[in-house]
Amino acid sequence: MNHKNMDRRDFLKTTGAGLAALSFPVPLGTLGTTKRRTAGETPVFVCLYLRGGMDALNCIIPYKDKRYYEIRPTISLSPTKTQDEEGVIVLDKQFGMHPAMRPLEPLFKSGEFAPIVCCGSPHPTRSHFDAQDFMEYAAPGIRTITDGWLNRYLQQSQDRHGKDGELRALAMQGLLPRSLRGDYPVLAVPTDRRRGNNTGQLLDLFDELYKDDSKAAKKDTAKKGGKRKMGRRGRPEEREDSVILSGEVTIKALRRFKEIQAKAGKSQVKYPTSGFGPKLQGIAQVIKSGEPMEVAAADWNGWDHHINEGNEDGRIAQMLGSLSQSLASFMKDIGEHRKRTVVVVMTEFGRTCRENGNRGTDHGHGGLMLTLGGPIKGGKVYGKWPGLEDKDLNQNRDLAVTTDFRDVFNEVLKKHMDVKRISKDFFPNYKPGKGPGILG
Amino acid sequence: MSDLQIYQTYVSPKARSKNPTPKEIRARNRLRNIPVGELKNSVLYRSILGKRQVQEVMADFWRNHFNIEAKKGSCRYLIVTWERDVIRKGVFSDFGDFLMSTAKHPAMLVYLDNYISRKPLSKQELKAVARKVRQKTKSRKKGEDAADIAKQRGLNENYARELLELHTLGVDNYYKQKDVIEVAKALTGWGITTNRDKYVGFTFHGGLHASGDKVVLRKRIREQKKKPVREGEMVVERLARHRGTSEFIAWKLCRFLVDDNPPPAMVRRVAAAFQRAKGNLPEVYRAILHDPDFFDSKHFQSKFKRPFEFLVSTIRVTGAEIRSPRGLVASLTSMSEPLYDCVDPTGYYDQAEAWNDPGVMALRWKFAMDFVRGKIKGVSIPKSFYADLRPDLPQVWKDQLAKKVLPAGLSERTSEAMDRKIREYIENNPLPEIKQLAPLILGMLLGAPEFQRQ
Repeated sequence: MNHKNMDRRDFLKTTGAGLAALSFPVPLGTLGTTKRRTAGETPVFVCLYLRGGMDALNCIIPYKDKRYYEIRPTISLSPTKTQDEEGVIVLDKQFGMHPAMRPLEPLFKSGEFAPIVCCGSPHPTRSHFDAQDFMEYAAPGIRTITDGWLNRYLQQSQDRHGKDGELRALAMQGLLPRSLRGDYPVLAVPTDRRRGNNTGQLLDLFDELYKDDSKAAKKDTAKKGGKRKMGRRGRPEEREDSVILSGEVTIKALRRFKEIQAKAGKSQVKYPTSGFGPKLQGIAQVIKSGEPMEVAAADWNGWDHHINEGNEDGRIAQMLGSLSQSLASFMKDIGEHRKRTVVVVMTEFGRTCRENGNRGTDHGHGGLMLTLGGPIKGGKVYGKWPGLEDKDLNQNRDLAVTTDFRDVFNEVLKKHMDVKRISKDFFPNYKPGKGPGILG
Repeated sequence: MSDLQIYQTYVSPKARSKNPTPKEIRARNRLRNIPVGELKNSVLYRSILGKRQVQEVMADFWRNHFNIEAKKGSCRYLIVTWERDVIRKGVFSDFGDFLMSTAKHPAMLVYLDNYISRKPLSKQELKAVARKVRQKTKSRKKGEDAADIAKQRGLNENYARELLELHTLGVDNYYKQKDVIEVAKALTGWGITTNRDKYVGFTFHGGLHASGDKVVLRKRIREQKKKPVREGEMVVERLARHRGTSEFIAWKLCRFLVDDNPPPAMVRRVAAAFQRAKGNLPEVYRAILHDPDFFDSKHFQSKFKRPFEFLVSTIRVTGAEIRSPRGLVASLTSMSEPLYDCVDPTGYYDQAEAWNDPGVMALRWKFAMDFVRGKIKGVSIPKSFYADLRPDLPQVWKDQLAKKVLPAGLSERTSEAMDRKIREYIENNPLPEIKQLAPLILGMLLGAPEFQRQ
């Protein structure tokens, strides 16, 4: 144990989060990890989820394929610039990007951005909630697993930064995404869009009500049967009321979060004001502070474009534009820290290749991932392309899946998060594939 | 209003136009959001002001047990009769009738996709698929694989699975994957008609129905050639009577009303009562309320309130006046439990672990303070609520307010912590005004650990 660790341990003593982390029912260190690093070197994984099934085919576009234009007569993107249409942004001889994704072009050129086409689940479901669950639990078709894959990672790698539960992970929204839910306590911080954020006052008002420093609390708990989720196996003297514990963690972690925000100062980079903008801005602040945060997550609902999806200036154009600008701002904002940061944008599935009768698309199969960050070997489109002819399509309607999403998760854990040994049941029923190779 | 009247009033005929203008889209959206908006308001009004609170509490339970996401497709129109004719009517009915009414309501058929489920491919069609793939790939195995995949094409298992897993038996309880498929087959053809000129509602489409006997839970359901809709009805009836259903429903009700981990012996007693009463729900509730474990002090305040329960209780204990519930509807959304908007068919969970994420508490504190300061649109605490406070005795305001808000009392530690905060306030403001300090005290009470439990 080195002195840096001692500092963290001292800090830990003052936090409820640490207390909770000490008493988890998960065996420590089942994921083999390399030696601990100092705070500013921690690898960061930012997991962004587009809920609803983003239309992969209008995001990364096979602009040379006539078939694409045949099957999408009203919602395809023009291959070339015309007087009133901007045209696809060319990435290579086969693929281009939606013109609204212009802000990501420099990152592609500098080799820090790479899409993976036809990424998805081996499970055929077209149900949003099943597909999302299966992906966020990284357990396609298995309903008995209810801990998110990132929470499993946090549980099983607790030894990695001392036994420090403090802000190893956070979600920038009201409730945790499933990928982060589970026995490991993760902070959910809603971004407050309104001016005059009074969280500080709130915390001051309630801090004494949620402080577990009196013996009275223990008496109370005994009366209520000592029920609590966190720290189920904690020593008896550590047990207290779960509501008080949760409130205490909330206060400590939110104060810490505000300190970090203050330390990081106001960002000079402009972000979009909706979608991922405010959320990524919040995540960037924590990264820039050097806090040893490993995982951050955010969701964006509303990518289920059954109707009026549009092309150059429809609904999806607006959303892809906002997404791209948010990502570009984020990368600029974190500056040097991009060397230790990997962002993966994912969605539960892609959509039908043919457009439907409402200028939209329906639930499909093969999707897409967008990966960004310093460690990414970008400037290249990854993934095998199955083609768009009838015979190439999954059930004659969707893009086929050629990259299992777990191959990407596995590669991120192994090559970016430095997990040396992933236990067999971490990804149940999964044989590690070669991986897309985005991280070398 | 009937489903048909709602369609006629709120579905704009232009909705079917292929290329609506942005103005048309806005008008259409405005119109189609009216039924859902009014429905959400009515749910809040009833939950808060309803005189029959047992009915309201149980309606809340069943609303989540038989979850519908109002945003999905035409559910936004169908949800009105769903709440009125299925959920509210079902609360005090027989479970079998309740289950059947959910199964046949168009909102459920749409929400869980049964309306698009149709018979799987025939043997001949499957052979043709296998042959085609075999010729193309020259691999026998690939042909078989393709036939295997094609086998289920057309059949949508979504509703059948949730009917077994969430509505009746509980996950992987008594049934297997093949039962899911057989139930789905029995239910093929259960669809809807949405003709805004003539009829909106349940329709059986014989042409989509899968023929042959079905074997569900190891018992044969004979093909009903004359009345194939009976097959699905027989499945629903069997499930409603099944022993596993009584166990699952009893357990869920006890978990909802008593404790996140209800005593197994109590659940057994309630399940037995369910069987005896043939699913008569008032009898089942009675069995819970009269059970010795119900009054055991170890379950006292053991449940962590969901945001919905938290919000409703803040309004009820303060007797706040509601001019419009829209601000409350929005608050529920910001506390992550938007009404009738749970995407997952599980409904919102009622156990602490689903809601007690670190960070969540801050949202409740914020709501409590916004509410007492009159910052939640459309609701206000009447002045009379503070009428019995004496201006010259600020040190007893807390106890007076606590009596109204938390009849079971404050714990010693909360009481002391609040006293410290109040003393601090009075030191800085030696002559505190009721309208300044009392709301602050009330907000702290609503945000206190005790108020998060029930």
